[in-house]
Amino acid sequence: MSCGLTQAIEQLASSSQASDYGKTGIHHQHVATLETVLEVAATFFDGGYILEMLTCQDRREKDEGMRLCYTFNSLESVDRHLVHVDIAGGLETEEFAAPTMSALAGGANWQEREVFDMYGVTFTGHPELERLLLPEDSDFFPLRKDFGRIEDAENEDAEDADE
Amino acid sequence: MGKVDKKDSKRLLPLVNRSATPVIDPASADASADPAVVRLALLDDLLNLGRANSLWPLTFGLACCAMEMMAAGASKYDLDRFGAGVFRPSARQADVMILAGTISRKMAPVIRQLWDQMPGPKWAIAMGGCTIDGGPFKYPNQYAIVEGADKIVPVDIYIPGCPPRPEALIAGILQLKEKVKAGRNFSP
Repeated sequence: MSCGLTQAIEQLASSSQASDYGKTGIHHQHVATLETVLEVAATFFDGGYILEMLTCQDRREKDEGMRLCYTFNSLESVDRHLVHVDIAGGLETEEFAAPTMSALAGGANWQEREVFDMYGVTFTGHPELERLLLPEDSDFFPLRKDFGRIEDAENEDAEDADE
Repeated sequence: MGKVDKKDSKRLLPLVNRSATPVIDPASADASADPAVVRLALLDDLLNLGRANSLWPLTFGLACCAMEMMAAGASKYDLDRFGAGVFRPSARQADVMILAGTISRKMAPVIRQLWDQMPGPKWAIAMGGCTIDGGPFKYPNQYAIVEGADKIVPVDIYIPGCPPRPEALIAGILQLKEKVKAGRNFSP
């Protein structure tokens, strides 16, 4: 079953490759786009897979925008797939959007809220996209690379001391 | 107040001299002669003695320090020996708030609400490094925690440690008892 599924995913994703499980903890790695990610996810869910984890990387410093990392796994046989989805953007980009997966899998609801909470990625169509962990009135995204750097605060202190 | 038995007032007389400002009842003709009329200040002393030896902490843990607080309340350390072992599940019945653990910003308004719900006189103990100034979680530009319990509630006793051992909490409670006996209170 998993072999056929991998083939189906390979047809949908722009690139797929096997991964060294001993080193990375995943069996297969795929790159999907914002257009294909829901279709990829639906294929996984049809094959009995679950959304194990959703996280994000801030790659704006390299002009690669935000990268969503979906991990799918099967409860019957350990077969972990990592799907990367890049959202284009640079350092000046503030708005990032991706389609929500919460209609396909209820477990995606809070995972997407957490990514929104920490990285500011908006999931279009999400039923309740609000702050999950931080206070409701927060106006920052703390896991973005340019948020609240320790060096910045120390430089500010030094400037205050100079004045 | 005037109905106190003469024998009683003589027995309590040595205590009367302790109060700094005796309150004289002007309505009583022989006020200066009767030691019973300074009973108001004495009553405060007695009440404070009662309060100090019967502290009612709020059942309330924020992080790992709460484990030490529970240990202090359990049989080995037995906070009941000091009259502070009855942890109340309702803020309305408590008069000591032991802030045991890291205070996240999201928790801060809840803590303030609990403090406001407690009837006075009431006291607060900041237990552990996090509640003193943020402790190990304090760094420039941090966004998650409140750097010190005294930014939310008036703190009477600070107990350093990460976490403090139950003995340290007991020492803090004994210190608080001295403070209560002396009638010192931020929020009557």
